[in-house]
Amino acid sequence: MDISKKQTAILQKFGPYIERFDARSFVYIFLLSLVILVGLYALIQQILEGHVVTGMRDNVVWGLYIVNFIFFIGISYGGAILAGFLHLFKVPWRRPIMRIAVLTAFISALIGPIFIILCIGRFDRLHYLFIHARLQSPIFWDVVAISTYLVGAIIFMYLLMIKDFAIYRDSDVLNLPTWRRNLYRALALNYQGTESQNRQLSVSKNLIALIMIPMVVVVSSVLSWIFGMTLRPGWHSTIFGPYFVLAAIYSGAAVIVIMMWIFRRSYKLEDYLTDKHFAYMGYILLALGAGYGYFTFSEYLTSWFGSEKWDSEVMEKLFNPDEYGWWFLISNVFSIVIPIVVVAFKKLRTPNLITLSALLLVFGMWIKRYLIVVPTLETPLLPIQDTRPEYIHYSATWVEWALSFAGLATFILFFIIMAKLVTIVTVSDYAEKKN
Amino acid sequence: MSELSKNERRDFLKKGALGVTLAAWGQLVFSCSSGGEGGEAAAETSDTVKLLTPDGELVEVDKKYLKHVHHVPKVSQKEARAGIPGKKFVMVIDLARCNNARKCISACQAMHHLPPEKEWVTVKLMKDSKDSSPYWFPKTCFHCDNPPCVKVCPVNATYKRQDGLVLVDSERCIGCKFCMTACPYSTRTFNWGEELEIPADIETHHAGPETSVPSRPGTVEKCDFCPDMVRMGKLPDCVSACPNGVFYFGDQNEDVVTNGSETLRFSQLIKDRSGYRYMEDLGTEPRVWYLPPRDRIFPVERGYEALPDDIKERYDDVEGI
Amino acid sequence: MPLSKIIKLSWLICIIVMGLTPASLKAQDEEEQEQLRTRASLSSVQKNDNVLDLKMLIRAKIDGRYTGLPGLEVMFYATTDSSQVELGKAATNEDGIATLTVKTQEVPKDTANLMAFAAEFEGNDEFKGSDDDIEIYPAELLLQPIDEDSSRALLLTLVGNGDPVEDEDISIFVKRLFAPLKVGEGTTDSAGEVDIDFPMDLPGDGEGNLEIFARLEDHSDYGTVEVHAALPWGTPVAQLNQDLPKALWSPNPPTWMLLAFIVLMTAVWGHYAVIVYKLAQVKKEGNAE
Repeated sequence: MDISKKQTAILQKFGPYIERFDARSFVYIFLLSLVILVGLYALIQQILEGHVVTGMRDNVVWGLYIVNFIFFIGISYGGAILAGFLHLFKVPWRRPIMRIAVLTAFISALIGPIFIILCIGRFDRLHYLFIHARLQSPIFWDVVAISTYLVGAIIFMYLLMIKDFAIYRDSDVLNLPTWRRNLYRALALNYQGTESQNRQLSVSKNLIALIMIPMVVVVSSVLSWIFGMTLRPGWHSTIFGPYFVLAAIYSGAAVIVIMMWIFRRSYKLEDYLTDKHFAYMGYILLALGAGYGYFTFSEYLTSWFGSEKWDSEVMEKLFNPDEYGWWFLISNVFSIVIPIVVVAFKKLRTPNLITLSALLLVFGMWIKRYLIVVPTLETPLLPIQDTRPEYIHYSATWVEWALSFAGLATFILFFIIMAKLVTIVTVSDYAEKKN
Repeated sequence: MSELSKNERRDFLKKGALGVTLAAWGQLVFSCSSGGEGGEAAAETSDTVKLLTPDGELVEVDKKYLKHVHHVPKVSQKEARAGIPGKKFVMVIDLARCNNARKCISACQAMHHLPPEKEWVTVKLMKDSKDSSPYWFPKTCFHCDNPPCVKVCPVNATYKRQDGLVLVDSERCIGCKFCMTACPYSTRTFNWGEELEIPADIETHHAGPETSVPSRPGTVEKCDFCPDMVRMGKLPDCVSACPNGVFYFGDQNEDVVTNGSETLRFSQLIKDRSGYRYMEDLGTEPRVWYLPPRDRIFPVERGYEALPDDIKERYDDVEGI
Repeated sequence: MPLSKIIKLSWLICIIVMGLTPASLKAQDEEEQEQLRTRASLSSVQKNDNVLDLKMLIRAKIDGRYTGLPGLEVMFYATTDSSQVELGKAATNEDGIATLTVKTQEVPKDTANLMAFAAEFEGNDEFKGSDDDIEIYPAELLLQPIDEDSSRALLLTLVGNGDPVEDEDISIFVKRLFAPLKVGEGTTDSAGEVDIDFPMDLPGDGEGNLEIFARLEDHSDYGTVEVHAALPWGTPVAQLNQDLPKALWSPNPPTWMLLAFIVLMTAVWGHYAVIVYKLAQVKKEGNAE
């Protein structure tokens, strides 16, 4: 396969990062593995003792695990749909971002479902979901949606990598061990860059990008319907589908920005991920943030204005500073106000500030997911009338926190490993002139 | 009683005394030779409970007399899923009679081997608005005809039967707890990890969705309307345990409900006493009806005063008590 | 002390010890294993065709509540001035009731046609024995259904010891799953007759059959007297065994849901299949190259 000068330059730049693990990566991997090990210890505790070790009880039956599940799977959906749009519309500045977007989609899609498995009481019976499936259950929809989506995310990521694999295979710039070359050879599917191969591949890419967009809309709606289909105040809402879709894209875009910043800094990619790219991503954040803010406003305004008994009880908890008032405020300031303000003003629209606001935004979105799950469950339609505090208020235990941080650590660890296997910038996209 | 039989009895007593004497000697010898084993054997066969008689004596009574253990008809998995043919069970709860005696709760716990803090039947103290008067509200599973919990179950572990009951198969449940969030009445409980102490023979003989035995850690459980009792033509334990006859239970196809002492036509009772279903507007179509607390037998305080402090605390938020 | 005396004394001690020890042991046993007192109550139900059920309820106060005792053996007797005849034995059921069915013509009676019954539970390790007795005259309820266009009634005649019995309350019941439902009552006239209306709107079984009985409750002379009949007087309950519909809550999904699922799955997995096929093409072409 022909490799252009520009591509050779990129390979030379990335060579040190993907050829071997340096000391710094080992330190990171070691530290992350420690966090994951603590999580594994917590998991063993949970398996041995049962779910008593969590803060979940008969009223609040879902807690941090479900919050993390929505959080990660939302990020994944966001990464996938953004990659789909960028590809399909041939957005000119997409080249250095696509790889980060599909990696975000793929890795989060692996982490999210783990939390569902942690949340269910009998994961030894997980296969019942298939052998005793009930089509009417939104959980079944979600299981099918996520597994179908995961396959799509892998295909999407892989299609965008095939040309790169061929380049890694054929490049004499990269100093790779034999097994790596063999791996790339296998993964490159004999791609030689012929006219016909190129056409087959672009059709495939277009197809997956095309199906990815409606699929993400459906699967993240399905996720929201797990809540929307119940008769619970704060959940039983018709806008939950689009609300979740938008929130998913929003948090996905923010994580892409954070990843861009991290790689730009640690790999010195200022030539590739320029300030312009951050500004463009910032515009996307601005548009999504405005939409997300609109949905949030309309959701709570209707509940508050209608002031049905149970809706009001949940609202009261969200607005009351002694309950969730501060968190509600923080969540909305972080995930609506700050990103919009930062991007809106040219002076603030710097990569660092956009990334900082994206970081706050992601944190705010996590809190938002908590505020969707927990206060509603703490507000059953009948009075709780229980004296055991853990049955009235949810508070996560160390086991749940340990596993949550283990999830985050796994996300970062997988990113580090993936960034060792492939270049974080799609090399093949830089073949501007072929000879 | 005839002279003859009395003589016979005396005769028997003499023989019996001799028998007891011999047996006692035997035991003495036996216990001398192998004390340890004898002790173990005694422990194994101690299927008895110690009770204090009204005269202040301590007696041991075989557990079967406590009625907790009952014979259960063997029901196949298929039958347990289909339901009792031709029936449509319905419950009517008379709010005018409840004084929170909590006998339904303890009977249910005994019946289903539940720990004391787990209540499948609960009694809430309801106060619908600021100025309305509080009343006791016993709550079982409503066994809805349009059950939100069954709708969401991904593995068909909780299911609706033709006889109207909603049951849980603890061997099928994956513990996703979706049904618990879907139930608007907070009916369902979760086994958060406790292995309940259920005698082994009960666990093997009673196992199945109809008895809600065994309780598996990590699965959902709830009030089942005691279909094992119902199959034998007996009322669920909460119904027969209530000292005030609050619960009426019966077959809607027969149009009859009974609380054990009173047997009434269901349609007539609902008509005469303005029966209603709780939160009808949710569209869940419960199979449990309530009779409004009109002409109450007890003042509401009666159900509060005698409670132990820890249970009193539950109602701290309710004004006017 | 002479040796013979010592031997005699030891023998005596031996005998005393052998005699007393078990006895005292037994006394201790009795203290630890005090039997519970039981209460027995005997009642009778006379039915058509000279059938008579003797019912013995045995209860004890367990946990502060009178509870029927299951699995106890009860002996039933018929007594006259001169004799006592064993009628048979029966064990108590889960509710603590032992039932024995006898034919009234086989029961020995005295000159006034009075039947005397006794029943006894002898007691066991846990419970003290108890007994009860009753005396009744033979009696019979006769039932005649009156089915007219717009109304239904039962004509009941109470005959006690061969004569019509006046001024007694008779109730009619319909058998139901847990307990019989009382549907009417009336008082017998001088001819021992009473006409009781029967409701027209009671649900029966699938064919509309009802099991009906009339009862004179716990009379001092006759005990309980009953007459049973099966009449097609109920409204048939339709669809006793319907299949579960296609619904959100049933195992059978609604058709549109299944269709939507299949369409969505086909669309997405179809795309995947095309892509996999194209990748296979790519690989094949690379091989040829």
